[in-house]
Amino acid sequence: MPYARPEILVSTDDVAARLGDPQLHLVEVDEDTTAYEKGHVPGAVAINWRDELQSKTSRDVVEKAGFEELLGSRGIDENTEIILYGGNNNWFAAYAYWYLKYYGHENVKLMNGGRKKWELEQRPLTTDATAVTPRTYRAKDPDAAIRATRDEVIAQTGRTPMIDVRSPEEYAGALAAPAHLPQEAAQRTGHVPGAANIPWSRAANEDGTFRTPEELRALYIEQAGLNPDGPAIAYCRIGERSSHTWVVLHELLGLAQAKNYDGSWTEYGSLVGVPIKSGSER
Amino acid sequence: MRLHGRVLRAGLPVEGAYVRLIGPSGDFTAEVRTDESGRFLFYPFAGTWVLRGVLPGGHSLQHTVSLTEGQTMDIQLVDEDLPGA
Repeated sequence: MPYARPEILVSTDDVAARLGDPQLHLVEVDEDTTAYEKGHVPGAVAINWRDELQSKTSRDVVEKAGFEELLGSRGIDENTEIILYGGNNNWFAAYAYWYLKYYGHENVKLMNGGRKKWELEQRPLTTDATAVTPRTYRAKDPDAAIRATRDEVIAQTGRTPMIDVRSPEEYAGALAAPAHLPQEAAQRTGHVPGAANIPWSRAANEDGTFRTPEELRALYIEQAGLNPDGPAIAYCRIGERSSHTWVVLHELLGLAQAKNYDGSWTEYGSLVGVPIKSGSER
Repeated sequence: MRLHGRVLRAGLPVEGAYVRLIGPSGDFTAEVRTDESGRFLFYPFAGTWVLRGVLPGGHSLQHTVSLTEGQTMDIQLVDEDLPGA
């Protein structure tokens, strides 16, 4: 059984074999926005998820015009083949993947295993600046079909299958964030009532690559009971780990109705008056 | 609470090791890359945790720790197998 879209995954071997190819457009997106400056895959450009993928005027994605300007400034147009990679097992690269799909970019891929696999294989990194010739990028209108909103999550609680992809400790409310981050948080801890806890990490191998199609199907379809032809909403804390799971559901398992709730727990857990469940029970 | 430490190989710090913290549930809770001093840092709660490190080249190390409330623990993950040995 193959992945639904096997072509979206590119191996580190394949990227290494193409280094120096002018048609290779690598884009690094990391939680640690200083990682790129310390050393990146030769030829890669960076996108800063915090400064460049978040609107400066509201808590939202950047508007279409800003997205077009950003991509164009990196030497990318709407027909460019983009290969994304990043740290944290590709969490933020997967977020950028979902984001590019939101604005209709057709030819976007992930380097399977991300920066960690590249580093552990002791492949080259450089601090050399990557020369870029700006292009004009024309985005499509946002694809609302892959993005779940706060109101939709509230309305669909108990109806649409929801997957909380955080660790069991965050799901239960014992941790407010991944354990590499300080635990101060203004919002309540816990999860959306009825959401199943399937940590994103169960979809990944230790080297950061995605598990096999058979393993993913067993996890999400056979064990969790998701309907391959039905809807599903994935959420986490800030929408990046849930993007990893969205890639698994929508692109690798072919759940065409899967959505990412990018507002995630930092939005839901701060809302007044919504139901919250604590502990390990759904 | 803090759980911090270093990854060492032959007494020297290992930069670029990936250390993951596996929670009492048995699932991944976080992963960090060691800095130039081989250091890592997590913010867990009281309980039993597994630290699992993967070093450049692929060799892995594992260590189980039990934290009590309010405790800060310093851990050394030591790679005894030298490269090429």
